Amino acid sequence: MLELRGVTKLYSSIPAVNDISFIAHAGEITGYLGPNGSGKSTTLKMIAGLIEPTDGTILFGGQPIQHNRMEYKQRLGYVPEEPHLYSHLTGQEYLTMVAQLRDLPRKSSADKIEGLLRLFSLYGDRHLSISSYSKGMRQKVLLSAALLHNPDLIVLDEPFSGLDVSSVLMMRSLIGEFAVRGKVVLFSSHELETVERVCSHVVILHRGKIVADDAIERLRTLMAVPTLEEIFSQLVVEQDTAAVSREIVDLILA
Amino acid sequence: MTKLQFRVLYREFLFRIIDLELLAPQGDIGKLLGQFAALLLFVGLWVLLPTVIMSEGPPSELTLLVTWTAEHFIIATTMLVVGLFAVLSWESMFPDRRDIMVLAPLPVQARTVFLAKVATVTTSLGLTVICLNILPGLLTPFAFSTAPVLPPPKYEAAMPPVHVTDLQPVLDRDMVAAWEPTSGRIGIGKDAGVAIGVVEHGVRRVFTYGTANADSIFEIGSITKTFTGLLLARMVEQRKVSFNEPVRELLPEGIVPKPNGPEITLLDLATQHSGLPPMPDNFNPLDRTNPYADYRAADLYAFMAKRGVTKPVHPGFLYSNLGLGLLGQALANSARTTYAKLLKQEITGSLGMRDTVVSLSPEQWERFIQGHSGNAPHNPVHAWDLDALAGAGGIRSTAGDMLTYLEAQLHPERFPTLSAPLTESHQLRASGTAGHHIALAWNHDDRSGIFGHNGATGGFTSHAIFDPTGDYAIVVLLNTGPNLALSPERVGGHIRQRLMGRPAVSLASPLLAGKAAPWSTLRSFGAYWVTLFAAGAFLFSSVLTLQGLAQLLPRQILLRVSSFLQLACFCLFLLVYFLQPPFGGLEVLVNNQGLLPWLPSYWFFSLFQALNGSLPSELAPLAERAWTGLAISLCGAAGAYTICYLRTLQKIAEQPDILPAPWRLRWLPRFGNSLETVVGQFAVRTLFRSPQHRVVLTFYLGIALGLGIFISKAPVLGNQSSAGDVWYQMNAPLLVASILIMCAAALGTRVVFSMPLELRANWIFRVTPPPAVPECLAATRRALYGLALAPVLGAMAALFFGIWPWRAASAHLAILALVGMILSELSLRSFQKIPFTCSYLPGKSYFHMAALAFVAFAYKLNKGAALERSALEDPRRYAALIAVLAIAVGVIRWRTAVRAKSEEAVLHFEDEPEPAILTLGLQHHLAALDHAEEQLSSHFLLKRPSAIRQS
Repeated sequence: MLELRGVTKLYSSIPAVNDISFIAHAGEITGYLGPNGSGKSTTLKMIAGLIEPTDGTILFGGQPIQHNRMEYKQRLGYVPEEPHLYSHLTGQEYLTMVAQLRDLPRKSSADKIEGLLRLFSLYGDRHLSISSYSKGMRQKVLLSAALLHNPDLIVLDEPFSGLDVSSVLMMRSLIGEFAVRGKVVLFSSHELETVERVCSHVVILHRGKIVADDAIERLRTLMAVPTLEEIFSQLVVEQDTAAVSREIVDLILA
Repeated sequence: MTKLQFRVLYREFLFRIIDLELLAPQGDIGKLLGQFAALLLFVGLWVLLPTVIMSEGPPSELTLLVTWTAEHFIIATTMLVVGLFAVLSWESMFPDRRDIMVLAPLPVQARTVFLAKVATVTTSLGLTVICLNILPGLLTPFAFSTAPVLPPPKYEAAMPPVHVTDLQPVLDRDMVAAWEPTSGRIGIGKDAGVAIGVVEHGVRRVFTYGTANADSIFEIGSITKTFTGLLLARMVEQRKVSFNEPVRELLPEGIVPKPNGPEITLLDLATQHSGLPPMPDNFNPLDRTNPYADYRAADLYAFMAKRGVTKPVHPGFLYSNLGLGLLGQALANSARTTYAKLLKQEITGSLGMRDTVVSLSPEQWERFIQGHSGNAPHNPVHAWDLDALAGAGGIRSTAGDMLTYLEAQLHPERFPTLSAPLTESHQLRASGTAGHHIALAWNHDDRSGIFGHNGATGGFTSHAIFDPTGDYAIVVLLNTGPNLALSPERVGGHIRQRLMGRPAVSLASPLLAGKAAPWSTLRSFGAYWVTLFAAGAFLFSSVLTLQGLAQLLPRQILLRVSSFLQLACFCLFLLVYFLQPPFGGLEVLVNNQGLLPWLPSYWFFSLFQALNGSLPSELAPLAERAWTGLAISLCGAAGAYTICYLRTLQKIAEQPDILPAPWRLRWLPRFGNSLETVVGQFAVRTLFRSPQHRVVLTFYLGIALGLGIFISKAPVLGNQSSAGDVWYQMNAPLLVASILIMCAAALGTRVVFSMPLELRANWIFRVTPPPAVPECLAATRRALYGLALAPVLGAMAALFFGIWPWRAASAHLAILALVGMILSELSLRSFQKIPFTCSYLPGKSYFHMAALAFVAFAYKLNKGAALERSALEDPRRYAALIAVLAIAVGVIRWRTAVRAKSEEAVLHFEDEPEPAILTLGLQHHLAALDHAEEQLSSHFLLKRPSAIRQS
């Protein structure tokens, strides 16, 4: 179980994330939603240990993650929002490097890497530089690197970005499979339709604060709207999008 | 619209001309360009140095030589700097993919882009030349305009062949020009005296001018070597020695052991093919006015004991005073007498040359003419007394005696006692300088069939030739050291031309004093800047041409070849600059049959002379080469842009930049445990695949290689300035060069380790279980050893085991390895990061300062090499040196380990990017607290996260 208790992150005394608390349970897929700049990626980076919270505690398995960072990182799989990779390495070299960094047994990690490359349809391109990979291929490398060590906590920041339709379908069922196997899965996405299909539980963030934290079904009932998109619109969309669109067109045509 | 577009693009391209990505990713281009300008100004000060030296003393031949050297130095240095600038702006010379992809959708014509690019390249080239030469360019033209000039020699009209009996009035008339220089010419001194001896078909005459008399005694300098050669032939005839006898056998017993391979014979010494250097390295005269006087046989033996008598496998011609001096001493040893006595006993006695001696009698001292310095104002100088090296240049003689000697050369049959040795001494035995062969010390001009030798001491110059076919001989003796105003060789050539009825070279001094007139200064100023811009344009355009030719390759191949071409150009420029010999005078340049006249720096040196109105005729072809080369390179550059315009632009837009490599290094060895392997393999792959890191490492290695070659070229190339070192034996220059390259490899690799590759990809090291600092240090150390020390040691092992005895080679390699380890340990002292994961933003790390420090360190290496050399020659000292170095390695390594294990040790990663929200910082104390926390969070907490949090 992943739990955030009163987590705050200030940048120059301006809060990017302000006193948020939620729980992501094992065997459950938690969607983490919010408009651009709401603090989603900041939260996920704090969970991944890339940045430190200004205040509050992050617990995994009931223990603050700072207490045994080594063990925590062995159990963490993280896919960042931007597919930043060492592009001079090949896909296989990168995955091998990650396996070595995690000190995985050579033989079994080599088999896993080969298997992942095949399943993600990267095997034919495994000896090419990542610089020549498409965005979708890079995303697959990131996913493979995050899953290589069988993590208990999977944190996915926009995992479907750049993936083609068949890969998205496969990823959806993959995430579901991990949840079934008892993993904690936390992922953020702008694709509300996908989130609605995959997640049982969502946390919605707006201006650094949580504005909803519940099962999707309950939110639909509470807010009396049929889709997650409408829930999202009611909670975080402040503009009249149609009116703004009209104004943009008028400005260009003027 | 187009003009505005041009201005915008021009400004954009100009600020991108230096590859910022290559030197300082995320750095400030303004700051970087400022640093470049400052660096160029600093180098400009260095370039100014020759002018400061040149300005001292009255105008003379020496001033001319120094001026030429300074001019060549400035041109060569400017070309090097422009070349390096071209390498650094390699990727910015043509529109690249970024330009095309950004500009293609905009309404900008390709022509405008190209014009902006060409204007940028031209501006940056001009700025480079101006920044470098702003200081010397304002001052040196004044110095150059007042320096002497050497215009083409004039020839007097041909006249019917003059018989020796009719030569006196002709010479009297011709010599007037030499003795009474017209205004503006720098003549020979008023105390000069020349004695000329001519013999033709048995008729001999002696002519004297100035202070010389017919019986004046002169130092004949190196013509002595022909006497030593004749002595050898004489003693071979007497069966006292043989041509192939090892010189070792004629030295006192136990001086030199018998070498395993081929050893130097007496014939090798007489034909200048012994491989011995021009002078021994223990030649350190106490009295510089009489430098050879205190060089005794004991000194000669000490040098030979150290040097040994091993002969190179393929010894070439190498003019050696040491070699002929040793031969003279060896022959004297064989005859159990002195060289002076042996000379009298075997040659001068038989020929009746009573005034040809090494030591003068009191009566002869009365007739010994005072010698004078070759440089104006031609002051009197001390006579040279030669002891152990007398066989190389110790004889004094008169014109009459020398005529007798030359008559004997022309007609050996008339001198029965020496007939056979004289004939033997004319046998051509080996190749000499270009167009020449060598007999027993006599140089033979293959074209004319004339034998000859020149001589020079501090106060005398001499020239002797004999032509067996024409049956004439000439000797010219002058009581002035080497000079350009009146050289015995030119006088000899003049007389020969008169004898043969050809136009005769004028004997008037060819040296013209410079004029400080405004016009000549203005002309010098113009010539200076035109030449330097032309030289810079030539080199830059040549690089553009090369790139243009490369663009004819398929684009994918071009992209891969381009970075290697860039490195090749970088190495080429450095190597040519450091390898080219300094200006050694016109004769060296003109008579060189090798690459020297093909070096562009000498073309533009000649071009400067042409523009300055001081072009010696010999250099005219080189000046033409400069114009031709400039025209070709400019056409090539224009062609390159045309190719790019017509062909490459479309391909850039159509094709991705990089396609899969057909071959890639996939397997790499493990470097130890998982972390060590990660770091090691990551470092290898980064260095092999990142052009930025490759270029910076090559920068260090290139400088070290250039300096190394510069230092070691004397023994390796048999340079005349070498003082006793030969490449196939342990020598100081190669010790220095190898240590230098090791230092450059270790420091350069350490510097590139600090350069980030893809900062934003570093997150992977932060979400995986973090290594502790000591583990990371061990991994980095292995990577450094594997990437820097091991390859250099391997290359040096191949070199030294190939050329040196195995004991010396292995002893030096052990020291080299320890030096490399010390440097590596020192450079890792505060390296608490994974290679290539941290930035060296300007202000954090100055790799160019490291490079300057490295050059300063290299300057001091000589003393270290001398220490090592003495240690290698003494086992006890060697053991002590090894022990000291090993202890140093241990101590530094221990201290580094202690520091890595300390509580403060944390593994650093690059700072997080700046937050998107910026404030004015009005809430100062709060902001400070936040900043402190930010800093903490930017470090990956490894050892003691709790301690960091508490702080």
